Amino acid sequence: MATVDFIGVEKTYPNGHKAIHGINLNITDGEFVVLVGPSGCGKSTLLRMLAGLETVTGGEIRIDGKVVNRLEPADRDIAMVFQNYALYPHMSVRENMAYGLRNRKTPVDVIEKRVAEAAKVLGLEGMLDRKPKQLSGGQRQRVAMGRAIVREPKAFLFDEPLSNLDAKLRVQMRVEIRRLQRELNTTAIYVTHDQVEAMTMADRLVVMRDGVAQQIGRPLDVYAKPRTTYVAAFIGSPGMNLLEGVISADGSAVVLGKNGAMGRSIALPVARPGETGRPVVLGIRPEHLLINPQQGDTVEVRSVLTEPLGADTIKYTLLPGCGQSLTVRLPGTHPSGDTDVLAVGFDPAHLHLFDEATGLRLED
Amino acid sequence: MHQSSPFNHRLLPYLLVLPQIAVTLAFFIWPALNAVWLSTRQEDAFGLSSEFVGLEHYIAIFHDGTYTRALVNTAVFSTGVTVVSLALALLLAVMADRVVRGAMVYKTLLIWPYAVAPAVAGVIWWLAFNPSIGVVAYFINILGYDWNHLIKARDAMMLVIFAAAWKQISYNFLFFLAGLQAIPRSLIEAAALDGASPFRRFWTVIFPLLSPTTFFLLVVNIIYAFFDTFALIHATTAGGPAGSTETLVLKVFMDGFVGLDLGGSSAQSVVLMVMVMALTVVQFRFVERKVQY
Repeated sequence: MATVDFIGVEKTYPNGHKAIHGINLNITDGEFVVLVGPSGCGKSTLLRMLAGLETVTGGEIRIDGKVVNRLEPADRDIAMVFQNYALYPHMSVRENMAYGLRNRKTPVDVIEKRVAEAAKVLGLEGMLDRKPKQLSGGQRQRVAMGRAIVREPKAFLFDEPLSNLDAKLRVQMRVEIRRLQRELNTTAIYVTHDQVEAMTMADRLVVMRDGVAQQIGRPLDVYAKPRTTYVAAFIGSPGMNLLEGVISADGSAVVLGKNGAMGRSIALPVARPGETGRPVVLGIRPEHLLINPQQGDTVEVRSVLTEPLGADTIKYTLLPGCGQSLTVRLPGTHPSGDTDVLAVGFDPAHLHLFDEATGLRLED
Repeated sequence: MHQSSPFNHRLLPYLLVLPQIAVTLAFFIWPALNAVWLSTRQEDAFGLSSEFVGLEHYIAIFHDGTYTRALVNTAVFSTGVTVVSLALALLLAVMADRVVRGAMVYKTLLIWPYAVAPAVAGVIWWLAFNPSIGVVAYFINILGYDWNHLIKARDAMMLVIFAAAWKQISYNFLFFLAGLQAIPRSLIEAAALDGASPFRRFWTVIFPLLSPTTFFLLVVNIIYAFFDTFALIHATTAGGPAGSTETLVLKVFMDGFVGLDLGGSSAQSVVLMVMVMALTVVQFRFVERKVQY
């Protein structure tokens, strides 16, 4: 039960490599924040800095308003769940969970009570005397959770905890972690490279890239209004389509292709007069492309691959003439064919516009 | 795990292991059998004839006070060597594991003693601790202890224990370091977050996880102290003063080649052979299966 604040946090390694470039983030009590980004973006480093496993070379980290920069991991009162679970292989499940409490000289009866409670919540009751290697991946994951829960820490830290599980179990544990966190109402910071996990679990997302927080916001806000082309492409599965183009002569449309080479124009919902010829990136999510619409301009695309998902169908297509790809999501099932030619319309209500040079979102 | 032999011809596999078998027979099995045979015979004073005496040599050595003394010496010596070399190697390995800069140099230096020939190592220690000219002996004298391994049995035993342990530390160090580096970093981090002090982390997490390595080294070190330290002891104290550092292996040599009691010496070496077999069984039974945690 705590707030966590990152104030201009930086990390520079002794070899001069700068992994974190000034992160500002205020996490409220009980909030579930997900740090998401590709490997090497600094998300794990940031989490480890909060845990005290990496030093902070700039800025401040505060837990409950208290600066913890120089505090030992043990004194920060936080619990962490590691990707490989980091269970002590020579200890039973019970000992694994009790270890942190025993180190803190918690009375034995309290330890027993908390371990029993955690085991009940996690469905580990019959396994307390087993060794970690006698457990399945999902059970080990639960023990790692249990070890965090019994401590009743100020915050839970998760470092890609589901990466080692198979796809089905991952979905199940995802729901379970979220449910537990809501029940316990403990602040949680969760690191993942999986944008689906990020979208589904987070109260708030932090999309990271190269040590910079590209966007911080609620999942659906980030989805609806990505601040950069990077976020637009990263969040969503498949990500947003990004097409190069320029603002047309009257500012009412975007002409597709580099320097408008393709000639096709897509009408903008709000005209941008005075920006004629400005190079932009036009973004549209796969589900906002319309096939054979009743009205509006269409572009003819050639389907190269179809992925039937059952509930809907993903078609990977190419725009003629410029080689740019366009991913289309269609509800329901659609017969596949490698030579499909589709007439695709752009829903003007869901167009995104980014500056080509900076990749930043252009507001209406 | 092949279900069937990958060889076409039935004799080919035997042919392939034949050189190994020949070497084993010629250099290990035949001398061993010869020792067993010799141990049942008594030579005359000139070595010209011998007669069968059954188990008399065996009975004799166990009634011999010097043999019992060698047995006790060996027990003290091997315990000392094992404890000292394991403890120091573990300490050095834990420290080397933390070193970031110059780690390779540090490790290489620590491995050097292993490359020193046992007799040379013995001479180095003999020189350093020599009561008349030894540098270390000089400093010990300054500290107020009159070091003299030439006349004091306890000093002599300490000297051979330290010399033998020093040579074995490198080997133990390598295994401990490998064992330490095989422990996932996240386990130590988890223990740190769980509020364990560095000391507690070591004893409750790291040391238990090293137990397979420790047990393996324990057996290897005992075997080393029993059988591989002849040259070192011979060069340092030669078993003296008055047999106080004479171990079983040294006594086999002394009785057989200096005293020319070939039969008695053979009986002693057969007893040693039984011991090394027992230790090997222990090693295979427990080490190969790994200590479970």
